[in-house]
Formats: sequence, C-alpha cells, structure tokens
Amino acid sequence: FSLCCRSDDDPNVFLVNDFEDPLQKSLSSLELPGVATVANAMSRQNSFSFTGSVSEVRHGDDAKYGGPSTMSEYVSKQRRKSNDPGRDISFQVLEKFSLVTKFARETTSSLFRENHSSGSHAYGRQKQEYVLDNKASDKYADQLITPDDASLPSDSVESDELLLVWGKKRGNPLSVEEWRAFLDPEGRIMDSKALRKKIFYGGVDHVLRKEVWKFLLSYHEYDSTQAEREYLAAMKREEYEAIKSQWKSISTTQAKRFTKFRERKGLIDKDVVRTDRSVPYYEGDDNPNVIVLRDILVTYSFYNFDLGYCQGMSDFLAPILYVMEDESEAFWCFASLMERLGGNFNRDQNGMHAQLLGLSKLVELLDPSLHNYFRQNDCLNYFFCFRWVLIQFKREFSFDQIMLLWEVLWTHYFSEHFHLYLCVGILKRYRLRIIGEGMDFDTLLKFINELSGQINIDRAIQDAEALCTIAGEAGADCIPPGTPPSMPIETDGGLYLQEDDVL
Amino acid sequence: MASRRRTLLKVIILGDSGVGKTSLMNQYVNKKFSNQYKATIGADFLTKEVQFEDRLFTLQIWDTAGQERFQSLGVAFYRGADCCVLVYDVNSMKSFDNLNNWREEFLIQASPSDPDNFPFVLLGNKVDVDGGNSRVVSEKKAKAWCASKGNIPYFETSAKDGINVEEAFQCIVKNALKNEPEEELYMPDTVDVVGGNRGQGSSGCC
Repeated sequence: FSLCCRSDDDPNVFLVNDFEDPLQKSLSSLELPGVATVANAMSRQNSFSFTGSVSEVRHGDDAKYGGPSTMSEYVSKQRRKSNDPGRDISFQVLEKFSLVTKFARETTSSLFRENHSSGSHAYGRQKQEYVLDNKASDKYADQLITPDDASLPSDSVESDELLLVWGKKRGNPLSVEEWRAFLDPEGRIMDSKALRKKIFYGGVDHVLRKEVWKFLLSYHEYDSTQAEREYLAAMKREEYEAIKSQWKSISTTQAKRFTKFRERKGLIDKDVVRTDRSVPYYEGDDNPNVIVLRDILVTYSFYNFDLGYCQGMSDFLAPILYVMEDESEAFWCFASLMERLGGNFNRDQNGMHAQLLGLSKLVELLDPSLHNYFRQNDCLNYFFCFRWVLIQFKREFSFDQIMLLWEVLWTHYFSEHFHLYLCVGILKRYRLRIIGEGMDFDTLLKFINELSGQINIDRAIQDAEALCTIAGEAGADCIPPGTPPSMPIETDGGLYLQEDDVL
Repeated sequence: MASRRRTLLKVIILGDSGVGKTSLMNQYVNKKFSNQYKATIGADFLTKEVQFEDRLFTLQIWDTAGQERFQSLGVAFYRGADCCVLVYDVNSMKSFDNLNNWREEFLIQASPSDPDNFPFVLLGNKVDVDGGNSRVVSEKKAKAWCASKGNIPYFETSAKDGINVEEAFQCIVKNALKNEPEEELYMPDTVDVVGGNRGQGSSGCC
C-alpha cells in the first residue's frame, strides 16, 4: 500500500507517498509554469478517464488523435537509476494502479463517452503524484517536464485529447561549437557518451550530420584520429570501387545467364524510382542521385550477397546518401547500419519476428490492459507495427524529421531498442481510442497506417524515454539477445538464411 | 429482409513487386493514378462501398508488399479473404511465372475452407506501356493459365489509364460472393446474409 493523504495546497488532490521530505515539500510548493499549466488544465477538464491522465497540450496540430495514457505506469518516471530505492516504491504503486487500470478496462467504453463525469480519488492521487514528481525532478536538472505553452484544443473534435507528457524537454541540436568541444587536438571524440547524450536530447545540426553520422553508424570509431579517418576513407573508397566494378563489368550476355543478378537489379531499379521522389534531392526525371542510390544498392547486394536486396533498404539509404553526398561514404554508412538491421530484411524475417515479440513483451510490461486487449482481439502478432519497425518509422515522418529521429535512435543512449519503446509510447497515446472503439486487427492496422504524418516526434521521443526509464532492466529482459539493432549472434551457417529459389 | 444489411467483402491483391497493385487499388477506389507511389511496406487496405444485385457491400481491398521475403506476413493479412486478385505485368515474364507461387502461397496461408473453389481473379496490368510494344506475355498465354486453374476470370488492365479497372473489380465483387454461404466469414455481420441470390460464377466475367 502506498501512503495517501489530502494535499494542504489543494484539497482536491491527494498525495501519494508524501514522505514529508523537506526538500520535496519545498519543491512541491514551487510555482513552476509548466506544472501550473498542467495542473490548471486538469482542473478545467475535471476527470476524463479512469486511467488517470494528465491533460497535455498539443503542439500545433500535428497530432490528429490522442487518448489518455495510463498514469499508473508513469509514477516512477523521474527515477532514472535502476538502483534508486524510490523505484521499488514506484513499482508497488504501479502494481496497485494496475488494479485501477483493470477496472478501467471494463468501463472504458462508457467512460469514453462521458468525459465530464466526476473525478475519482484514484485519479486525484495520481494527479498529485505527477505534479510532485515533476517539481522534484526539476531539481535533478536531468529530467524536466515539458512546459507546454499552447492552449488546450478548444472546439476540436478531439476534446478528449488529454495526454501525458514528461521526460526531459527536447534540446537544441548539436552545434558546430559544441561539436568542436567534443574533439581533442587529433580529432578523437573525448567523451562519446556525453556526445551521444547531447544528440539523444537534441539531434544534430544538419551541417554536422555528414561528419557525425559516420560515428553514430559505426563507420568511424569514436577514438580514431582525424588522420586515421582520412586514411580509412581513402581505403574504403578504393574498396567500394572494387566491389562496384564486380557488377559493373557484367556484360549483357553474361547477365542473360545470371538470373539472380538481373532480378535483383530489376527490383532495385523499380524501388529507387519510388523512394523519396518528393524530396528535391531525388525528384525529377533522370535524376543522377537516383542512379547513385541504385548503384549503392546493387553494390551492396554484391558486398553482402547472402542478404542481397530487400524492399525497405532504399528507404534507409535515401537519407544517408542525402546527408553524405558521397557514394562511397554513403555505401559504407549504409553497410554499417545493415550490420545491425540486416535481420529486418532476412528471408526468414527472424529479426522482424524478434522485434515484434519484444514489442509485445514490452507492452505487456508497460501497459498490461492494452496487452490484454490485443490478446483478446488476436492482435498479438503486432503486424500492425510492421512498417514502423522494419524501416524505423521512415514512412511515418517527414524527411527532415526522420533524420532527427534516426540520429536519436542511433545514439543507443537509453537502449539499443529505443524504437520499440517509441512503438509502445505511440500505442499508449492512442490506447483509449484503440480500446474504446473496439478496434480489431484490420481496423487497428488501418488506424496505425493513417497515423503517418500525424505523430508528434518530440513527444513520441519523450514518451519513449519515459517508458524506457520505467521499464529499466525488466524492459531490456523483454528483448531477446541478438534482436536488431543489436549486433547479430553469428553462427557457422552464416548470418543470413539462404533459399536458392527466393530472390 | 436480410439483403438490406451491409456486408464486408475482403479482397487481397497479390503479385510481384512493381506490377501495379497499389495503383490498381487507388485507380479503382479513388479514380486516381500517381507515379509517385512508394513500395508498399507491410500491408494496407482501402475500402469502397459497392452495390451488387441491390445489396450494399463494403469492399475491403488489401494491398500487400510484393517482395517474396515478406510472404510470411500473409498469415495475418490473408485470413478471412473472400477473393484473391492476382496481378502480373504483361511486360514482365517473371511476374507471370510467379503467379503459381502467389496462388499456392495464398492458399497455404489463408487456408480457405474450400481451396479448390476459392475465387481468384487474374489481372494483366500495364497494357498501356509503350503502346503494347514491350509486351512479353500474350493474352492467349494468360488465358491458358487461367483455364488450367479452374477458369479464373481474366482482365487486361491499365491502372494508369483506368482501362478495365472498374470492370475487373465488378467481377471481383461478384466472385467474392460466389462462395459466400460456405465461406467461413471473417466479420460477424457478414454471416447469414445471402440466400440463393449469389453470382453466376466466373463465366460472365471474361
């Protein structure tokens, strides 16, 4: 059981685990603008859901729908260290709240239509816990609540859009000056963890991407010197040209007798002309960059003949080439990425199945009621998230946004599998709609596909960060070893299953 | 009586990558063609209200990824299908040769209750390309294949120019209803709707 008492400051709220810690007390009395906004918004909305969400204000109109997320899973949010004693308490609270969530599941559909029903004590205490935590967290300076400054959607059809947000506020992209400060005189990166942290929270200024992505993608080692990298680049350029010449020298008559080559090249030819053609870099007829895209992919299918080419690869390559503006470097960065994500494209789809299984386990851990809903509705294969996972949200965001999201993912700062937490976070955002509308597999797939272009990227990252923190090691345990983008576990039989008759 | 109820018909479009599955679906549903479609990842579907023999149906048309590597997803996407539309590109022999594979894979993964009589429709797409000069699969050859598979209805289409698309889908609807009483239906409200007023089989389509 957790300690629960009425707040002195506001009789409508209840304190959970109010330990009379003087520091926390004083913090809770601070007037923080972001928290005030959240609290006010909540009072205005009164109660909206048994799952106890904090009303959250939308950034512009980029989120089409929204549903409350379960507050209960979030109580331990600010406690980043897994050995934090407060974490255990949080999990106890979480457990209690899961009972509330269970009850909520049964009543969701009716509550969904009655947004203005009166509040509950359960809700009130969650609310207070939330406010307290946020205030306290400011002191840690590491985790900040987002002070949303926009106003609540007034007359929109999504008046029930009451979301929860927390996790550190998104920062500014890594600037040229900051980048320089990370380098020693020989060009080594002194503190790669701090660099990755910086990038995780703010991304990279576009002018630096060409340089920084090479580290994030493990094409360059963090402790390499500038001179070493230049030498490597020259070597790699030669190596690339050598591999490329292997297929460039195939004559027409030879190709006639080389079905696999013809078919792979044909597939690539078909895909490059329908990859990011609305981006100016790739638009228009006879665009030379599209030819480079093609050449890199065909060369890759020779470099990694076992894996070959698979749809979705061109989606990954297009932003990389756009950033590198160099065929060889784009190739090697892409090849490095495929070292981790090759399993997504394998013939047996094992990498995809492992990730979708991990996702299922994570949802079970972080939102048991949603998991139960998926189980009851035969949705546990999570194929409705297939596109999200296969190409790491490429089709869900704009070209600019995806460059930001990918560099955040590639930091592996919180987890190698941060993209799976993104999936969980987005699903939780829409849980009320999913459950309330009784979506079956087909409807859910359609709903997820139509979220494309509607997801608030900053908020999605913040949610995922929060979930990642809450899940801690239990979250990591959900994901089988070798699951992409973890490095694959090598076996004698090679990394990629071969079937001769399959392209 | 029951014929006033709306019914869901689920149709799956299969075929090699780049034969025009997404384009056909969009041409039929939205009457639009774009050469900017991206390769389909996973699956998606569009719905369209259609009227057939005084009954209103919601046609749910599923568009799937064309690369064979993604076939294992079929289990989730094909289930409950009422009709399977096979598509090949008349300018690509490979896409025609693969039809057997697509058909067999569908029957394995969808496991319909009566596989021998499950309705398929074949579309030979892209007849507009190069004024027909780059065509490599003849109509005769395609029809022979259809005959060998139990008289599958066949249409030659151009998703780009909208040729035969409407006609093909009318036939698809009709065939989707062919096995209705016997089918194990996916949506509860599609059960018990049809009496004896079902389609005449595929003969009228070709």
